[in-house]
Order: sequence, then structure tokens, then C-alpha cells
Amino acid sequence: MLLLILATAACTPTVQLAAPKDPITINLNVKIQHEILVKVDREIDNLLEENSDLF
Amino acid sequence: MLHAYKRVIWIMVLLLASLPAWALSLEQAKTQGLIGEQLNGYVGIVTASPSTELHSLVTDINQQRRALYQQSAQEASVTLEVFEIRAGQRLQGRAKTGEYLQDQNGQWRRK
Repeated sequence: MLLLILATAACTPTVQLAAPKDPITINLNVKIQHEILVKVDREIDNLLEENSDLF
Repeated sequence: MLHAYKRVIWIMVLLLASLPAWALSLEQAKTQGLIGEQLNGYVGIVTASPSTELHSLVTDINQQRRALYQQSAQEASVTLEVFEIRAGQRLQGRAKTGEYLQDQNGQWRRK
């Protein structure tokens, strides 16, 4: 039984996970994040301007 | 000429009168270090012995802020949480020297 387990364990292939390095995707994410931040900041600017009594 | 001048004065008076009564109180409460800007885009109580009035001021301000954040977050297509965090950063950034700000550990620190 033990031998059987050891034998099968020995045969188990190791799977190596490598993180894909895709600079295009990263750049795209950064760009999208930046655009979202700009949008949010513009909304906050409006709030501060129109509701100065709340901030 | 004089008429136009008078009208402008009137408009200014009316505008001032239309400001909510607690507009000054918020500013005062911040300057006096009774309240401060938290990290989450809302004001929090700094003083150890807050009055009932201060409690209701904070609740009132924060309720109104939340309603605005909800709308604006939708406009910017982000979650309320994201909007609140960014608002917190911005509000702490524009706070005046001497006012209290909440840090990452939840401690109040004078700017």
C-alpha cells in the first residue's frame, strides 16, 4: 500500500505556474485606472464647488 | 446705476441668508478641533466630550455627504466605497493646518 502511494507520488508531475508578463495589459490597466481616477476627481471637484457648506 | 448696485447687495444678502444655519458650525467645529476628516470621506468626532449639538451636526453632514457620494459614484461608474476613499484622501489633503485628521491607525492627528 505504502509502496503504491510512493510509486504514484513519484509519478506526479510538478506543475509550475508562471505569472504571465504582459506589459500591454498592465499599461492598459494603469490607463483605465487613471481615467477612472480623473472621473472621480472631477466629480469631487463639482461636489466641493456646489456644496461648500458640507465640506 | 445706484439701483443695480443696490440689487447686487440685496442678492448677496439673500444668498447669505439662504445658507444653512450650521454652515458656520461645521467650519467652527473643525477649527476648534472638535471634529476632523476621517479616511472614509466623512467627518468624525475628535473631542472626548461631544455635545448633543455636535453629534447631530456630524450625523447631519455625513448623511448629506453620503447621498451626494452615492450620486457622484454612479456618475463616475465606481462603487460607493471607492468614491468614499478618494473623497477622504482629497478632503484630508485640503484640510487646513491645525485641523484634526484621522490616520491609518484610527488616531487623530493635528495637521
